[in-house]
Formats: sequence, C-alpha cells, structure tokens
Amino acid sequence: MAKRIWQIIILVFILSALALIQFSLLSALPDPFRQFNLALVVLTFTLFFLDFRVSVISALIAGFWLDVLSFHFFGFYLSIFFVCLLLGQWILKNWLTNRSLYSLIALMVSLTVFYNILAATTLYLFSADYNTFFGAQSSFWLTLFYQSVWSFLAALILFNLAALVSKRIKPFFLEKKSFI
Amino acid sequence: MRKIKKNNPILIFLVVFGLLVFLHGVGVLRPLEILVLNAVKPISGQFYKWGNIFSRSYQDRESQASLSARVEQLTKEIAVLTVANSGQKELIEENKKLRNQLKFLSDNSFKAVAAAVIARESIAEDTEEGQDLIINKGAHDGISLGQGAVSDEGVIIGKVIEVKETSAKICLTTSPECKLAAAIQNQTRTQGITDGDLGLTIKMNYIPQLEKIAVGDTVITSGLGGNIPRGLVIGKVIDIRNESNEVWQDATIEPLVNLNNLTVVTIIIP
Repeated sequence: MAKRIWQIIILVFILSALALIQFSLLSALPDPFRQFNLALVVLTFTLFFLDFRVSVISALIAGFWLDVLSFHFFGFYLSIFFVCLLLGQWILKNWLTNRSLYSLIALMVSLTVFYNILAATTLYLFSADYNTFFGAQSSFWLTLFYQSVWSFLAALILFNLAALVSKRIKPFFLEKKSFI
Repeated sequence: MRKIKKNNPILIFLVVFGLLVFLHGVGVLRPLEILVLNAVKPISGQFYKWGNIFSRSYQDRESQASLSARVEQLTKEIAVLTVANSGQKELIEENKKLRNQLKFLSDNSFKAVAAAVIARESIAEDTEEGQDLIINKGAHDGISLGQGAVSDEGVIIGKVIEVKETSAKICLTTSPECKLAAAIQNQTRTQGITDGDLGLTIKMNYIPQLEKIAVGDTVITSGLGGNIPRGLVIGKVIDIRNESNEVWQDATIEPLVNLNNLTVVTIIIP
C-alpha cells in the first residue's frame, strides 16, 4: 500500500512538472519547437508501455494542471486527454496487437492528429473567441504538421530509450540451429 | 446484465472529472486553485525566462549575431526617442487645451502594475493568428478587462482580454483580435481603430481619403472608449494603401518593440 502511495506521489510530481514545462517553457520557444506537445506524448507513452489505468491517472493530473493554468474553459484538457486515451486504447486493442516501434509511431501520430482536430473543434463549438473554422486556417495545418513530426521523432527516441532500459520490447527471434 | 467494476479506470476518471468540474463551477475549488497558482508562479516565470533565453539565442543565430544586436539596440533607442517625442507633442497639445480651459489637472495620473510574463498561449489548439501573453498578476492586483499593457520602453504592447484571480491574458497589438482606439500624430489628428495583421504588423483601416497621413507618422492611443489612456505609442506608419477610387485608405503600422522577447510588462490602471 505504502509503495502504491509513493508511486502516485511520484507520478503527481513528474506530471505536474511536465505540465508546467508545457505551459511556460515550451510556449516561450520559437516555432517549430513550441509545437511539441509534451503532455500528449507522455500520456501516449504511458498508455503504450504501462497500462490504461496509469495513463488515465496521468491524464487527470496533467489535465487538471493545464486547466487551472490556461484560459480555456475548465475541463477542456481533462476531457480531451481522456477522449484521446480512449481512442488510443481502442487502437491498441483492435489495430496494433504488438509492441513494436511502428506501433508506437502509428499510435503517437494518430493521437496527435486526433488531439488537434478534437481540440480545435471543441474550441470552435464552445468558445466564443474562435469564430473562424479551423480547417480554413493555414496555421492549424502547419501546427498539425509540426506536431506530427515531433510525435514521430518522440516515438523514435522514446522507443529506443525504453528498449535500452527494458527487456520487454526487445526483438525475439526463433533461430533454427544447425549442427553441421 | 454486465457488471461495472468499481475500480474501472473509465469510471474513476468520470467520477473525478465530474467532481472537479462541479467543484470548480460552484467555486469551492477556487481557494485551492489560487494557492496552487501562487505556488507555481515563480517556477512558471523561471521556465518562461529559460524558454525566452533559448528563443532569443535561436533568433540571433538565425540572423547575423552582431547585426541583430545593433538593430535591437537602435530599435530600443528609436522607441525611447519616439515615446519622448510623442510625449512632448502630447504635452504641448494638452498644455494648450488646459490653458484654454483653465484646468491644470493632468490626465496621465494613472497607477501602474508591473507583471512578469509566465506563458504564451500559442499551443496546438490555438489556431488563431498571433499570440497572447499570460502574466502573473490578476484581479487581486487591480487588473481588469481592457486595460493597456506597456513595455519597459513605454510602448503599448497590447491590452488585457481575460482576467483570473491571480493571472491575466493580454492580446498583443499585432494580434487580429486586439483592437485599440488610436490616433495618428499628423496635422488633423486622424482617429481610428487599429488591429493586428497576421501577428506581424498592425493595421489601421477606414481612414477617410481626405486625411493626410505620411510614412513615419507616429500612431498613439486616442484614449477613447476604454481603459487605455491617451498618448501611449503604438508604432510608426510604414506603409499606406491609398487607391484614388476608394473612399477609405489603410495604414500599416510597425510596432516599435520586439513583441517576441517580452518578459516583463506594465499594466496601466487608469
């Protein structure tokens, strides 16, 4: 029990720090660096390598921080992260049956595209400040492109880092030994 | 009938989410939010500064380092001189009016609140052109909607568009959503409204053809219809679109300060 509480405390600490980095540090960077969606990458990573439960708790923590800090309506990030995770879980169960690099890239990029479309649609429908349809704005497509590239790179780096640390995702080959 | 497990993560999320939204809606969460925001303000400010330092060095590397430093220095000097010059002009005008009306009260007696920029709202889902700044002062510090924000050189850089208890959002003058009542410092004191153009420059539309404006004219706030005092410099006219068959003419205005590297702003409280 104590171990579990410590795990949650560490998770809260790490995700709070990540949310602050996303909110303050990344937003101050020039294009294209500022387009890196750290929170979504981390959530996708936890969904892929850990489990759905951990990723849901992570979404709650990161979403709460971003909702408190940002000027969007409260619940915006919480709900979007949650819907993204639901879609991610569905993709993992029905489409990506193994834990390969290609699966992680596919998951990261597809969730990035979905996140952007969902976020822009939500703001367009529920926020009075966004009157122009996002599909007609070049900035939306440029952002989507940059984010997809960052997600692709993040998947490449994170998978290889995880492969160094863990044995779970190492390739496994059946070799037929010859005795000649 | 299918049983729902008590520790189902979806169920846990929905319950916590519903609870958070409800408590936020009724205001119970507010003290906690304020506490949390106040606690992380210094960290946010530091993160923003680091990001800004990287941003500056990246921009400098893109252009020639020495040249950009020189240009930045000269731009600052121009901004300071323009502010001083426009201030003088405004003082002369004001003095005349005051003498005429025998009133000796200055209109420029306003309070100012210095605030640090803690973030830029330009994240993925924000598809609008231009960026907004988030500062570490809010309603608690006397900031309210429509108040003007100036840089350390005294140039207006935007206005407050949203306010929370401990933070506020400022739209930059180059942002299309940021409209300011303005006046051109020409002979006729042409008045109009400025708004941002593609997040790069400022434009002033619907200026009557009869008004004589010239490239290099200084544009200041007119002080009409809002919380922003008169006489704050917005920028200089760099281009005029003037078609003889049209009723109106448009002016493109260049801001006098680099809006990408702001770390501290001052909010003018009238």
